[in-house]
Amino acid sequence: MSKTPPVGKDGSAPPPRRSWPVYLYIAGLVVLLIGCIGLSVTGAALPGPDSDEKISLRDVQARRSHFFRYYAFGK
Amino acid sequence: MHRNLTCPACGGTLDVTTGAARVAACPYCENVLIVNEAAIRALGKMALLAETPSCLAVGWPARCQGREIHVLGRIQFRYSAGIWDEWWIRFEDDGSYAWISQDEDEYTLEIPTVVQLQPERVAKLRPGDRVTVRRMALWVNEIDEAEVVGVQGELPVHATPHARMRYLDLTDNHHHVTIELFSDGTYQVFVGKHLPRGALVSDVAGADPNVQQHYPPPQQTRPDDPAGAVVRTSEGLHPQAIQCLSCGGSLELRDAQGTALVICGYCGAALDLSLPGKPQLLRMEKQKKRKFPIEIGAKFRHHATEYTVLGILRYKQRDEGVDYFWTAFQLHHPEKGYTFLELEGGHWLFFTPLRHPPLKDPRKLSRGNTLTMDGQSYRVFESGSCVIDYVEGELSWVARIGDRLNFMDAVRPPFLVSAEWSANEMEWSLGEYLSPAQIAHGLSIPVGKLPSPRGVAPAQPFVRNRHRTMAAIAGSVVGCLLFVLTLYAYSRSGVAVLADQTVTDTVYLSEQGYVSPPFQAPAGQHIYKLQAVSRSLDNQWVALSAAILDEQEKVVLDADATVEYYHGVEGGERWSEGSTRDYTLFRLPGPATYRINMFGEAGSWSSFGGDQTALSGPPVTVSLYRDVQPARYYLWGTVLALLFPAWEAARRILFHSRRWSDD
Repeated sequence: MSKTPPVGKDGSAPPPRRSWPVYLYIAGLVVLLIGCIGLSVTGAALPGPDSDEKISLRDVQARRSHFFRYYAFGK
Repeated sequence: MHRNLTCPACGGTLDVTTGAARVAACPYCENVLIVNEAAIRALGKMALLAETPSCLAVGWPARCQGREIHVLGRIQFRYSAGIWDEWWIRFEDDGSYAWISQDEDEYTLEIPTVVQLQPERVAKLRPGDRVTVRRMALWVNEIDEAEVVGVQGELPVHATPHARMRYLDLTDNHHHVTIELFSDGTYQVFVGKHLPRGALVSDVAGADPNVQQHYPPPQQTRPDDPAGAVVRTSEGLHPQAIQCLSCGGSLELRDAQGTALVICGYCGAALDLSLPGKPQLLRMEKQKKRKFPIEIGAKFRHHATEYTVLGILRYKQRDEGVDYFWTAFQLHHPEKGYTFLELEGGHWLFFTPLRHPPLKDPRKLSRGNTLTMDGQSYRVFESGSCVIDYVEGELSWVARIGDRLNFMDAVRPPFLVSAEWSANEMEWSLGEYLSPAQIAHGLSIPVGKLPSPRGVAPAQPFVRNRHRTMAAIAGSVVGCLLFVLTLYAYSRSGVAVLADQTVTDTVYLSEQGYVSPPFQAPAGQHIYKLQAVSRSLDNQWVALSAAILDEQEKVVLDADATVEYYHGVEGGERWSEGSTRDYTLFRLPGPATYRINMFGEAGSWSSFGGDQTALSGPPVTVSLYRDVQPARYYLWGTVLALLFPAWEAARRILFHSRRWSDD
């Protein structure tokens, strides 16, 4: 295979290659993997019970009745 | 049988050491003498021999493949592209004779062989043709005419100076067969084998066996020089500096021994130097000197070898009315011989002669065909013809402006196999792609002085960056892992809490809605999946709104699920849209008891009336599962992780498609 030229663009010694972006990228991948597993297992991003402002079944059914009257039956 | 003979022309003394000799060259007067007849007679005076660098010298012992040999004589031929030497040798162990053919720095051991040939068939052969000789399937490498320049020492053939012959070089990569056809209809066949470097070792004291050098010829004595101080030789020498025959300018030759053509740097005249000692002015169009990124005489270092740039050739190819140009720089190294650097579109190739070319006729190959060599497949990139458009400096063969060449290039980046053929000769070479930075390094110049590469060259490799490759591999591994997890999550349905509860429209459209039986949530946070399925949907929709109720009948969570399925025929083609299934995910803490209260709305769609709310709808089957794993996060993660590997793959595909695009 073609050899990597042992010189920089102007013929001088090439600058040392930086590897930290690769390690940063790999670290990002690890975070992504752990994050995906965490979200899937815990469901932290899914909707859960809202402790505040709980409404009762009666309220819900009342709203429903209102909907029926004004929209479903055209009143 | 050692004989001491006297030259009838000059009276000089010459030794003939073998009874097999038919002619011998007088070292004093350059006459070729017949020595196997009753009376010695002169065949004619020969021209000066070109001094070719060699590890052989007439009269000196040497070793060939470990066997002792004695060099008895030498015959030099001139052909259209230069000269070559044939050395007649005797193996000292068994007294057998053979020839060693030397063309530049290539040596071939040749044994005369009796073969019945059909001269009329041989006359029809062309370079590249296949022919079988003594069960060897050979292809014709070269056909040309040659003229005897002169001889040295003793020889077993009547080598008359200026005698002409037609010759064919055939090869099958292992054997080298030469057929020599003489004007009287006779022919001779030699079967040869290439001698690798080191197989031929000179016994001259102090000589480096790996370096070709000139050894003094054996001293001969003349009657008037009893002291034996005469070191006269019939070998001619190219001067290091010659005078241009057109303008009289002094031309210094960098490769005095091997140069066959030199272009005068002052007036542009072309001088043919292939005939030793007799430069000839070639009728060639004088050209305006062009500027190239590499000058004649520049040094180029590659693989620890320093080459000198001797000459420059520019080729022109006309394709569909467009002229394409590329430049070849002939390089020379005293040991490595001649090589080429080729420049086209800012891209560089370093060529070396191919000793074992593929056994395929390049004239029958076209773009996209496969060529196999040394177990590696090369893909034919291009074949066509070109003409020499410009010549400058020194060349090892006589190249004329307007000379037409046919070529075929097959690639396997970073390598390119090239076949070039004319009416007389076919040559193969192997090129290696070198980046401009490598060329600049070899020339010890800044890369900015070289032309910038345009597009993708046929043999240009896709340069892999170690870090990018590492990142792409890591991304692929994580992406694959996440994809497996996606499949795993999809395959897990969880624990059925409420299974297949059928809810009719009269229930979900009622004011009270559907209220599920209570279900127990175990301790801790658990992920639930509420699924709605309505298989009888027919251009309808059902939108469900679920309220999760705790033990105090308080709504702790709202969730929605909508099933809708539409279908029809449009333009003669069936179509469908939507799904009869939908789900929603949520989490609930435990331990606790919950119920689901679900309301719905239904509607239908038609192409005439559009979307309309309906007072009835299809039944819906509701299920609730616990401990479900959402696949969506794994899927999003898979896409994210594979972004960079996909980008890298796309770059590579784009690179190769640019290589093979017609442009």
